[in-house]
Parts: sequence; structure tokens; C-alpha cells
Amino acid sequence: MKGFLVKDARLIWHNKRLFLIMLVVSLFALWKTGSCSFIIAYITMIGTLLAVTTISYDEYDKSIVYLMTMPAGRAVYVAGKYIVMFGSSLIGTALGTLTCIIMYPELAMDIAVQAGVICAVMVPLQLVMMPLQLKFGGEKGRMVLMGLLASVMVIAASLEDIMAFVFGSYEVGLAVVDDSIEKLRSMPAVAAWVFIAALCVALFALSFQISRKIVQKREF
Amino acid sequence: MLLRLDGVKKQYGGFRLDCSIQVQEGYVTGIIGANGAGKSTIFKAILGLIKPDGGKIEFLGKDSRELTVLDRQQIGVVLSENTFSDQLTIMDVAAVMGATYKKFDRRRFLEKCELYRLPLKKQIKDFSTGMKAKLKLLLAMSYEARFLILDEPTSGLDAVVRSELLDEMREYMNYDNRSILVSSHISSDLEGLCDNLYFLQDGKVLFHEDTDVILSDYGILKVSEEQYQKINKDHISYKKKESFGYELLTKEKQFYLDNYPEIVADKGSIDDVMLIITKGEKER
Repeated sequence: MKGFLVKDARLIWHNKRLFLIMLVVSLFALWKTGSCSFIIAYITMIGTLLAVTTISYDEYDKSIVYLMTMPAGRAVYVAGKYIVMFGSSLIGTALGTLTCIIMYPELAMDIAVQAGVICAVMVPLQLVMMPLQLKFGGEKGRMVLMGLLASVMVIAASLEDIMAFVFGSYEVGLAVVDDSIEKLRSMPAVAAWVFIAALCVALFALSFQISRKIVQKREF
Repeated sequence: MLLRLDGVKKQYGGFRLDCSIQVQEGYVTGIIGANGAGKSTIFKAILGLIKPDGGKIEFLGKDSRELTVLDRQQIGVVLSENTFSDQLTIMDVAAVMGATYKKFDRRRFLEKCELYRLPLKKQIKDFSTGMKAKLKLLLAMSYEARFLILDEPTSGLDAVVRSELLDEMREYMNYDNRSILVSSHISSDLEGLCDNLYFLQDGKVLFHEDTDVILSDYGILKVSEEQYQKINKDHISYKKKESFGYELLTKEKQFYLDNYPEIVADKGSIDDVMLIITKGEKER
């Protein structure tokens, strides 16, 4: 595991210029727009892309074949990629949040909440993205992800029709969703957090198992 | 037995691998065959990079699927693919190896790199083919592996670099209990290095013999059609039609030299033996 992490850290270091440029662009955007949520999301996404880039490099020159012969195992390789992805995106979120708080100290609490929401949105996206990247490789994986996002948008746009189809009418469906949200809201804060944490762990376990199976089934 | 492949099968479209190979401890075993003969498929099956359709691979005394992390610390690998990403430098690679292999000898590895004039801080993408090949072999030898698996380590290199790499392999074998399985399509590389050789064609082992026996006992007999009809064929294994008659492969060169002094009998070089086996037909 340590060897894979060192390799990925060194790969990221060699691409530092590109990511520094992206950081400078984001700081410029922050200065111009003052939109903290955009900047935190942007820098978090850069962090996620760092992990994706390391997969692309492993695939691009087929060095992954040699990596699979090393004394670590395929599951460890996959685990390393999750660590790099969560680690680099977390650093991205922290960097973005800190920068915003330094620039707007009076909005510190709001900025922290925004960062939390961005993480909550980003984590499921990452959990979907990792198996896709490992299955289709860097470039193809990104295209599949874009296709997936487009599908989500299409589903969102046709949500009214879908709910009408599932529940008989849109109004009934809306009432069911409202009811569910109300139930969540009425839960004690600790229970709600435990529920969210359990959901995240379950999603992570599912994503990791899928990724592990993809890499373990693969022939090189 | 360090490695035993027993009836290992793998189908890729029209290509089918079906072979049995053994590597003994302390020996250098070579696999020779043309491009596409199945050499890389064998190496990938041994290393678990592909799943065989059938057969059994026993490695370090156990089923190859049960190799532990500690077992893998004892295996050095050179594949036709890159080792690490071209974006990295030798200093990066040394850090990765140090974090992966318990017995990685960083000082010696970097000394060897400097000896072969490999730039330590330059990205591997800027290396020549020869430099990359040297790096691959030095990496495989950098952590006291007990067994080296080298797939075409000298492919595409000039004579000087090939000679340097072969010297490295010989030096590696100076220590006890070490073994090498090496493939090549350049017979001269294997002739001076291997204790025994497997000839591979279309996924099948056509022939297996000790290198010394090939070089000392094997011979190519050049006979006319008339001589071929009269000759004792008990010790002839392959024949190949030629304009003058036949070329015959024998393991008993001396027998024919003693009993048929009129026959031309050449010493069997590995290339000659390979050629007559692959292009000729079995005598019996």
C-alpha cells in the first residue's frame, strides 16, 4: 500500500504545474465573483481529478501491469486509489474553505456549512466515479461519467413524469417524498448523523466492492 | 521444483497456449520462440496477470493463486510493458521500491544506475529504449529476489547493451539458490546464459533440452536423397527438405560421425536446431 501511495504522490507532484494553474484560476474567480461555494467545489473537484489522473497514468503506459506483479495485491491497489481520492479532495476542500474564511472571516460559519454540503454532494459522485475509472480507464471513464451526469439531469428534468408514473400522480409522489423528509427531520440530531454516516459507509462499501471486483476480474 | 506449469491452457481467439514447463532451483531456464509463440502469455499466467483456462501452476511450492505478499517479495519481474509511469524519475522509483520491498538495496541500486549512466533525476519518458531496458532489469535485481522472471529483457537492444544486461544476469546467478526464467527470440542471448531451453511454437513446447547437450551432442546432418534412404534413422528426430536432399536433426551426432564418415555433420547451434524443429517435420 505504502509503495502505491508514494508512487501516486510522486505522480501528482510531477503534475503540480497544471494543478497550480487551476488553483490560481480559482483564486482569481473567487476574487472576481466572491462565490465561496463555487470555489470550494472547484478546488475539491481538482483534488478528485488528481486521483483520476494517477489512474490515467497507470493505464496510459501500461505500467499497471507491472504494479499488479508487486507484493501488494489488487485489492490494496484499489484501496490506495480511494485513499488518494478522498485525501486529495479533502485537502482541496480544506484549502478552498480556509481561503474563503481568510477572505471573508465574518462568514466563517456559513462557509463551513457550504463546505459540508459540497462534501456531501461530492462523496457520492466520487463513489460512482471510482469504479467507472477503474473499469473504463482515465479517458473513457470520464466520458462515461459525463454520460451518467447527463442521464441524471435528464431524470431530474423528467422527475414530474417519473413520479406520476410511479405513484399514480405527481402530487401523491410529492406527498410521499415530503413525508419521508419530515420523518428524517423529526429524528434526533444524533440519530440523523448516525443514519447519514451509515449511509455513507454502506455506499463506500458498495463502491469499493464493485471496484475491487472490476480490478480482480481484469486480465492484463 | 521452484516453478511447475502443468498443462496450462489459455485461448485467445485463434491462438491457444497449452504447455508444461519446469524451473529448478539454481538454474537458468530459457524459453525461446518467435514473436507470438506464447512466451508472454506464459509469463503473465505465472504472475497471475491472466487466468488460465486450465492446468495448474505451482510456484515456490504452492498453487500460484495462493502466493502471499512475502512470496511476491522474492520474485523479480521484467515484462515487455513499462515498469513505472514514464512521468517518474529514478529517484521516484527508488522511493516506491523502498516503500514496497523489504530488501530493497537503495544504495546499490542507485550505484548501478550511475554505473550504467542512467540519469537519476530525469523523467523516464526521456530515456532511450536501452536505458529503459537497463532500468527494468536493475529494478528486478534490486531487492535480492530469489527468482527472476524476465520476458524478453534484451528485445530491441543493440549488441553492447544486450551484452551488459546478460553480464548482469550472470552476476545475479553467482549467489546460491537463485533462479531465472528468461525468454527471448534471440538464441545467442540464451545460449551463453541458460542451463536448459524450451522451444515454443504456436503455444506449444516443441522441444526441451539442456543447453550443454544441444551444443555438444546435437548435430545437423546434411544428406542427399540417396543417403537419406540408406541411413539409420533411429536417432533422427526432425528432418527438413532442402535442395540437396535433407537436413536431419540428431542427438547422436557422434554415432553418425563414426558410422557414416561420408556424411556432413554440423555442430547444432541453437538457431539451427530451432529452425529445423520449426520448419521441418518429425522423423518418427
